[in-house]
Amino acid sequence: MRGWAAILAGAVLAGAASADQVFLRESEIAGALFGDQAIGVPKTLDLSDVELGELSRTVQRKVEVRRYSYLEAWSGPADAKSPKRLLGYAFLLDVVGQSLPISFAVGVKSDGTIQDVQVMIYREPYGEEIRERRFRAQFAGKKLQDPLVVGKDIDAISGATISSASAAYAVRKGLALAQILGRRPGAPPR
Amino acid sequence: MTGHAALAAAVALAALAPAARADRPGCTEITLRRAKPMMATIVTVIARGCEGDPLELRVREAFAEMARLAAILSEWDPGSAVSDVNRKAGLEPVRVPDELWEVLQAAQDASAATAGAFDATWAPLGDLWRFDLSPARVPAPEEVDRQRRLVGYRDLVLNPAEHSAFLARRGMRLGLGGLAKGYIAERAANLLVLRGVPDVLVAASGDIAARGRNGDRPWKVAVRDPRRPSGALAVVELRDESISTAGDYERSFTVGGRRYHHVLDPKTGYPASGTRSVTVVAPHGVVADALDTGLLVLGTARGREVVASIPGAAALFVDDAGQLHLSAAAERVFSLVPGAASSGAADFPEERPGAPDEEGRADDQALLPPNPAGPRHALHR
Repeated sequence: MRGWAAILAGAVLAGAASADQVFLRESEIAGALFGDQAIGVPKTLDLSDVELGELSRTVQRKVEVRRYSYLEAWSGPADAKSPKRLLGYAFLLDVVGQSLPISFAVGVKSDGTIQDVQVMIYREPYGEEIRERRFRAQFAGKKLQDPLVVGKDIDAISGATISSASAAYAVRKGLALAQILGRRPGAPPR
Repeated sequence: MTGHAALAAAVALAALAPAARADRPGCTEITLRRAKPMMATIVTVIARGCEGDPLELRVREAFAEMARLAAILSEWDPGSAVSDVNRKAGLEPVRVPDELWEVLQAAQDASAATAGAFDATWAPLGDLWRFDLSPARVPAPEEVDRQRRLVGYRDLVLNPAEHSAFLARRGMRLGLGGLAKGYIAERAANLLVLRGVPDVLVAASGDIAARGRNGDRPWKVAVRDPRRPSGALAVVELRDESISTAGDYERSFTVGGRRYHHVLDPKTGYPASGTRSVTVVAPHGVVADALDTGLLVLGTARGREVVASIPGAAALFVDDAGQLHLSAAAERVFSLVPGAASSGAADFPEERPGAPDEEGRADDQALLPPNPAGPRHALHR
């Protein structure tokens, strides 16, 4: 798995803990991308050979992964028993960022245009200094071996601007997958 | 209960359940964290509130406001107000929206404070220095000289009566990447406060604005080691302030054994030398963001004098040898890692001659179009 290989390589090279910042849980995706009232229905998309070829051509790189997790986002109050209208899809896509994969949720409206893109998990190697005795004194409750966790001990890092080039790739892939999905026989009514 | 015992108990409780806010009885405190790709980077909003608060909606509004501001301030969007000023360089003044006016005033203030080491009219130089080409190319001296002559903040004329901006010579261009993200992050934080979310942190990547607190402690931001992405040099507790870092490590290439990075000195047209990174904490994001770039160009000695003249500002410099230097009274702002110095290597250990050294460039990105933001003095700080 490309993603795991990257995670391991990153951890070894950096010699530091990898801190995952979780921004969006799967249960929150529909509401965050399509509005508070939206309901998400988890689905899986398995691509045929023809569809995999189409996806590779559209995103201009060879794609080998056939299976994708996505949500159908339906309108209606959160307590409605039966969803009413398909608002669109949200694809859960991992793309290698600076060094480790970033997990994106790419929302595509049912008319095939982008609704929203958000980061689900941002991973980065970080956190050597907390092992330094005097420095960690300011983080109450920290043990010697504990890494400095972004999102817990500290809230952000001021330094390099993170490139969002990987987001552009995620968007293209999400749009291509929505196109494939929309063309399938039995696709939900729009 | 002793102080230590109380602290330990508080830490234990915090780990188990959300805290209750003293000023809102019955409040079960929650934290909403959202991140979106925007402005060629990833922007994070962390908002705290009570269960039942419409935090998701408020954060969505903050992102929408940032998108609106970015559309005004981006020189890469042909429909932006900045692009309009650029198109009419040497022709006529352009009446500009309030947001652009504020940013241009801040840019001119930063230019005056740094004697032109920060210059919002740097953009003609950006065309020459491309960090997305392979093999990389060092522009010819005559090209640098020609473009350098098109840079000069004194030829950006702001007319308060008309609320207009005018670039006095044809070919001049504004590039606001050096301060726009700091401005936009602070505006988003302020909007959240106005709409009832007093405790927020908005991070346009490394340009960060904080309001209020993160529960029972201030917002805390680590300063990155310019030679070690996983390392921190200091931690800063932000109190209704902003922080920005400019570094020589973001975009670069190596030709003939020499590394060229993206922070250009507007006076020479070449990458600044002598300083690896500068981090500025200031009451306003636009000031912190503009100053860090200017100070990186100026270097430690002159830079510290400039910081002393800016009310409420503090700076941490990392020089070429990896040594840390603080501006006057900055030790109360930056909590340094004991014995901290940027990693010893005189420069980056792995340099690939003639190839862009953009950090962590992943092969997934190899087929993507180049970042529209392109090279910059400033565009990332």
